[in-house]
Amino acid sequence: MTAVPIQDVLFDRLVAQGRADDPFALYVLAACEGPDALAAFAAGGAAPTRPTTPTADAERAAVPPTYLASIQVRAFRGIGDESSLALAPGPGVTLIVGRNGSGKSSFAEGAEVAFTGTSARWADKGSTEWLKGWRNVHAATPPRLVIELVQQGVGQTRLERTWKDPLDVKSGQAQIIDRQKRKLPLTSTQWAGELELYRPFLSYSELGGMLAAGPTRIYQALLAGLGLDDYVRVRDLLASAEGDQGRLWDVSRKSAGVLGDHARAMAGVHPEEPRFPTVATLLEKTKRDLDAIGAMVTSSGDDARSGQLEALTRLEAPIDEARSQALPADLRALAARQREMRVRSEGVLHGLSKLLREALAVVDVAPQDHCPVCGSDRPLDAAWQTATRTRLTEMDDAARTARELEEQVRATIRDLRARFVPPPAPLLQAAAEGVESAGAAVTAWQAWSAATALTDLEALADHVQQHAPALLARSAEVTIWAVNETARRDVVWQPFALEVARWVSEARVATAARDVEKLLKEAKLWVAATIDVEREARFAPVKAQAIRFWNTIAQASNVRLQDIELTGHGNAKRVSLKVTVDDKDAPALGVLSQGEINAMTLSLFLPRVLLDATPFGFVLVDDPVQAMDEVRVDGLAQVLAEVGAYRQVVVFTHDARLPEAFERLALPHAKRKVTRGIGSAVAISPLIGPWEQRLKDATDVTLTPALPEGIAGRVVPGFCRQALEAACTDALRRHWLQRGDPHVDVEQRLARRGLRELLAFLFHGDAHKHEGLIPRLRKLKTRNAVEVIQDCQNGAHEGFTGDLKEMVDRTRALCEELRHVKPA
Amino acid sequence: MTSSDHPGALLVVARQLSDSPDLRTSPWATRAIALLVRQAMELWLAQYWDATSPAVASVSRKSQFLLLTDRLPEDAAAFAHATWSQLSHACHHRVFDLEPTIAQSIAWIEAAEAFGDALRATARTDH
Repeated sequence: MTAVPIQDVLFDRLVAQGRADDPFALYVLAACEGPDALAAFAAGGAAPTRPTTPTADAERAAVPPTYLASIQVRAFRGIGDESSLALAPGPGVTLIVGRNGSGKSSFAEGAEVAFTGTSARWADKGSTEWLKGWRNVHAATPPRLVIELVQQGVGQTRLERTWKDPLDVKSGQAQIIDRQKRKLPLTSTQWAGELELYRPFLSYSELGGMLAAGPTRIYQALLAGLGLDDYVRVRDLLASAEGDQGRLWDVSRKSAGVLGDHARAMAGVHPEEPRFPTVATLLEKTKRDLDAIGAMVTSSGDDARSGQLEALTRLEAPIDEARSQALPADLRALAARQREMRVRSEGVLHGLSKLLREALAVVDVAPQDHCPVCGSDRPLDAAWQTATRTRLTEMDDAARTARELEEQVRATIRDLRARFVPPPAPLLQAAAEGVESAGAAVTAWQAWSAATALTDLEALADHVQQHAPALLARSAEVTIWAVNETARRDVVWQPFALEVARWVSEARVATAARDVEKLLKEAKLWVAATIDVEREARFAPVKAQAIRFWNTIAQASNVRLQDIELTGHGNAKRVSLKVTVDDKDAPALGVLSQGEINAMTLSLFLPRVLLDATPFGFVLVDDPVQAMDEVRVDGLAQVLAEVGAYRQVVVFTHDARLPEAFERLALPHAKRKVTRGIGSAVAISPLIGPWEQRLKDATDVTLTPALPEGIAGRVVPGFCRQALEAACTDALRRHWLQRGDPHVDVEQRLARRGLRELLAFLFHGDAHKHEGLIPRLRKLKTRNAVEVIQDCQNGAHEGFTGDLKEMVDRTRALCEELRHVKPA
Repeated sequence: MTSSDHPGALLVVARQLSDSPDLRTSPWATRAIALLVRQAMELWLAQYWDATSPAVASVSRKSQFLLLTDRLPEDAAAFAHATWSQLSHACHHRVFDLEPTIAQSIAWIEAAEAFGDALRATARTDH
């Protein structure tokens, strides 16, 4: 419980450690703002506000304490008609003494049940006895518990618990009624939670059971109320957020594994799809390349296989259908023309035109009347010349036409040869991969291209006619195959690619989450370490006080409490008590007696009552003395008195040793006595010292008119004698204990002593030395002390007929004197 | 001899103390009952020895109770002695002892009444 907000406290620490600018610090601050702020920030949202100026050291504020003014119990447990136990609302010890069954524990339990709705004594047992026995059997009215409270600085408040169904303990409802008479259910007040943290009730059964419940339970009980809840909440939020981020990463990692396996399986089923093994390998890497994986699944056709298929869908044979059909005829026509031209241009071919031109040149020089070549007599005249020139022109034309035709043939052959190309690489690859149509296409293609050496037009025409149809048909088949294959591949790959694409986007988030997770972990560890430091710091005074309390209560014990260690983490947190027996280490529970276990539990839990943060100014301790020996009772009284200096301590006990110890040790306290009559009529009266009580009883007897005559005279001397015995006992006990005699010896010496023996002890130091006692008594200041004693002694057996008031007065004077006698 | 000297009368008052709504919650009621019941038993005892063996009346009360074992049925004598011892304890201041309970007081009254009856029966036989 801190007065300063937790973010300011933690920010101050971050600043003090020079870590306020560390990246994890923002997560600490976000967690301080709550789960929503932390989740938003972890998801990349707005950063938390940093406290601007460091505050002063966080200080825990003391809460104004609430005290008990009275416990009113009706028809509950041992109490029938309503009975009220009034208490002084403020620090101090009040002892409520009553024998077992007197109803005192009904007040203790009543207060506990009023506040908590249940009783630790019974809750653990889950017993049907409690379900049946919580109501008082004698009561005619429904049960009700009322606690009057005084809250410092606020005023009076009233806590009231009633039961809707007076037969069902679970139907109880508690409400707080404040000064303005406003009613609030207890569960809606701050106290509801604080009752858990600062439980102001300790009963005998809890005392005994707490240590036995185990070190983890002790840890929880001891550490509750140290006000670390805010710290723990921040740490838990960070841990939970770390887990969330870690889960994102884990899920992504596991999904990658699943996708990788899927890809491998698909690769087995579809060996033709090389992207499966590729993406599997990428997914299987420890450090996954999200960009590479993303590129594979987001672009559909830039891989080799896609390129190949795309090439094959566009596969074209080196000759098209129309051309392949026209070409053989064209070639043959060309061949025919070539042949014809050759005939026509034969002269040219055989040098005739040159001869004729030279003959013309000869005739030009000198007309020839006969042929100079063959010697015939046909003159080479003008007619010859004209005819020859015409013939030469024709020959030149034919030669030109022939040249042109040759050129055309060459061009045709060149063009055709250019179509005799090897099969394209994608086709060869597909054939090599065993694609049937591709293989056939390659064979057709190769047959087609085998004609590169052919020059003959007729042969070429035959070749084209023979091979072009197969080439065209096979190529078309490959194209159809490639188109189908592309479509089929998309059907196999696309759904998987989509899955991987989705994973890639998640993995990018998870990768970012991993960084956030690391920071959250760092933040969590830092807060956890801070908690450890803070817990140690806050527990230190509790521990020191617990050790001191134990060593006070267990004054003469050889068991020393050396240290209380907080160890372990998570569910294994424990408190370990470092105990030595005669300076040797020992297991705490093993060496402690039941009385010591109770003392240890009280030592451990009383310091919590003193915590500043508790709103309860009171603590109710029921039956702490059981099983304790006298020395412990003295120590317990001292410890209770110490707590009583700061808190209202109400102790219920059946054991008169506790009030006696308070009295003898002069420790401040108030006392009440609880007595129970028939029909659960419970009466509370002030508890005074035993001799004063007997004398008060004696006076009351003389003032009771209902007693028949002579009866008071038979009772009063007995009471007076008891008062004298009590006064002697007081004097002797105080003296012996103060000089250091062991408790055990003192109690043994005082056991079963009559008045004469006690007087002999007091004046002679020997219970059996009665000689000279009367002369010694005559020296007392109280007038007629010997006669008073004798009247009491005899009257206790036979009655006394003298003045009873005077007897009581003289006895009182004698008691006062005896109490202050310094024993021999 | 007043009524308060008669053992039976003391037991009647003791009964009143244990029964009466006004008296029983008095903090002193059960201690007073212890004193009255013891005195009743001691009165009966003295009367018995006075009547039967006057010499015995001068020995200690403890001895007188022990001697009763010859006169009363053994159980009755032992029970009477035990009751008287408890009462003696209750009639002195005992460190840290709380007052007797009502139930205990009633048990003492009944034991004393039985003791009176037993003595009367024995006395008649003796005569």
